[in-house]
Amino acid sequence: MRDLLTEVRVPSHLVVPLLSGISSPSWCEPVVFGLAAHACTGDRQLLLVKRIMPLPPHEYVPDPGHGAKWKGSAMIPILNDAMAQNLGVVIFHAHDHSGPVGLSDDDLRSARDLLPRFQNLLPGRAHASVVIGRDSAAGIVLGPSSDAYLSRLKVRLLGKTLRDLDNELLSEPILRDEEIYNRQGLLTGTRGERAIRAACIAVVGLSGGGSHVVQQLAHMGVGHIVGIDSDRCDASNRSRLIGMTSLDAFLRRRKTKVMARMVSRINRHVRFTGIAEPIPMKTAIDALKTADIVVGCVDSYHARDDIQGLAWRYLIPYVDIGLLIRPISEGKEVMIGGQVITAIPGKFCQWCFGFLSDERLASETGGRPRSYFKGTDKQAQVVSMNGVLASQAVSEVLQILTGFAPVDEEPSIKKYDGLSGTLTEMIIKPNPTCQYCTSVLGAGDLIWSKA
Amino acid sequence: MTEQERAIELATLKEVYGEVERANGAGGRQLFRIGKAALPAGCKPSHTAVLLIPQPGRPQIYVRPGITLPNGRTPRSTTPVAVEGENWLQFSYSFPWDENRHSLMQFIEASLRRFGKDE
Repeated sequence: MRDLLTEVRVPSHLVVPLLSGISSPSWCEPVVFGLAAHACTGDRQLLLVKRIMPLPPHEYVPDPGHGAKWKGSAMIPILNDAMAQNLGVVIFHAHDHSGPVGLSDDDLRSARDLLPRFQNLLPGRAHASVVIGRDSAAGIVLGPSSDAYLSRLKVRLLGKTLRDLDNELLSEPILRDEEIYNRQGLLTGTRGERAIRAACIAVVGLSGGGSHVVQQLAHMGVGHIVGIDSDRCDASNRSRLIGMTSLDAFLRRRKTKVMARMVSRINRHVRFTGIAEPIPMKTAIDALKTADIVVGCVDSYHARDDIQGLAWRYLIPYVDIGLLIRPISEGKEVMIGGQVITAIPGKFCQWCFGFLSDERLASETGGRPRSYFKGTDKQAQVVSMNGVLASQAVSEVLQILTGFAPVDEEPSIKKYDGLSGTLTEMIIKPNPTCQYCTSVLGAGDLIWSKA
Repeated sequence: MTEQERAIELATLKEVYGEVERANGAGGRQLFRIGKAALPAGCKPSHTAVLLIPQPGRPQIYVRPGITLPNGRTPRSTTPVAVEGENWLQFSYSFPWDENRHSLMQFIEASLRRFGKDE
């Protein structure tokens, strides 16, 4: 049986400090320390980097026998911060070449010396030593309260495109279903197709928007789709729920069942897991934690807040779509608007620019606690307009997975105008004081200890 | 609440409920988890885990989802929520509370009485 995989996730605002820190011109291999929370998902352990701390040049000690040697005292402020914030310690350095990388014998000796010391100070956290190459990474991890080292490791650098540094991905066998995807592959390339086939995408809400998204992800050949929706089909869903039949409405089938059937008919190699529970329930939270990207197709701010919270906590990119149609009434003109918000952890969240706010949440409960939330009023929905937003959401997923288009890293969202049929990019001003990004980003699982 | 007052509160909670755990949440807030607190007679299950978040004014309290009332129904005005990535049930119940006069144990016991009401 193989080791548990450890995935080190670096939010986008820490990617440059990390990479520049380990590649700074220096007479030795520069080292950068990361402070990290952690989380356990079904198949992997996540190390969620919250802070990057480079070692100042004067702290290194010349030693021709080692790639890097530093003064013991240099560790004191780092360990003090780690203990104050109850975070694990990750030592990063670089081996600047393409192809698989690995820790040298000297790196391993150093890691086996330092990681148990970190564990003595912070037994409830995971600690690691990681080497980063140009397109791969390797390392060893000492898990919480464990004396066994884990050596299956990948590093995920978050940005508008995910950059997975993974020795195993480099040695993946030839792709399955190449014939189906050869036209798509002309845009995405072999590496992009591998990323699509390896990806797990969670889709929350499987009605007008979400069913389009699931259908397109299945056609695209995404490895695993997790569909989350507790509702059953009714007759009114037939106007917009892709893949639904009259019998599904008659039998009140779960929407997850309809999606599972649709996906298996499109491509039996695409795995679909249906979760017939709403997001705050444990099975739904556990399923969402396994996702590489989450697409939210929900119609309330409370539901968005739940997804945003989980996505940020576990450093998962979150693509949100929403459509609002105000039909002509009381002399007011028709208005059709919507949005596609691609929130990359470390860039901006829905709280940063006021899309989520206490006022908006309170408007759904009449200013009372969440337990008074009764759901949103029924609003107009039109399949074609749901489809426009869903298609854009899937393109955003494709961009995150494959980086098919050269994009700048400027934070932006897309606004939809259904009357003109246009999607317009709007630049978002980052909010460095966003409390949500400061406190929740990369928080991981709670660490409980006896009081 | 001073550190000393909190320590006394914590000792009382441990004495009454046995297992009490602590965690640091986002933004440094402290969370306490009580493994097993008794629900009013007739509720199913008969006991629940409790999440308590002390804060100025009134503490926040949550229980595990899935409780049914003595009349067999699901309690009204309750909703499952994600608190720090964990699934809990939020509920509303009004009763007089003064943090200077009442203990956390009293707060928990008074809050859980909500599940004795058949609504």
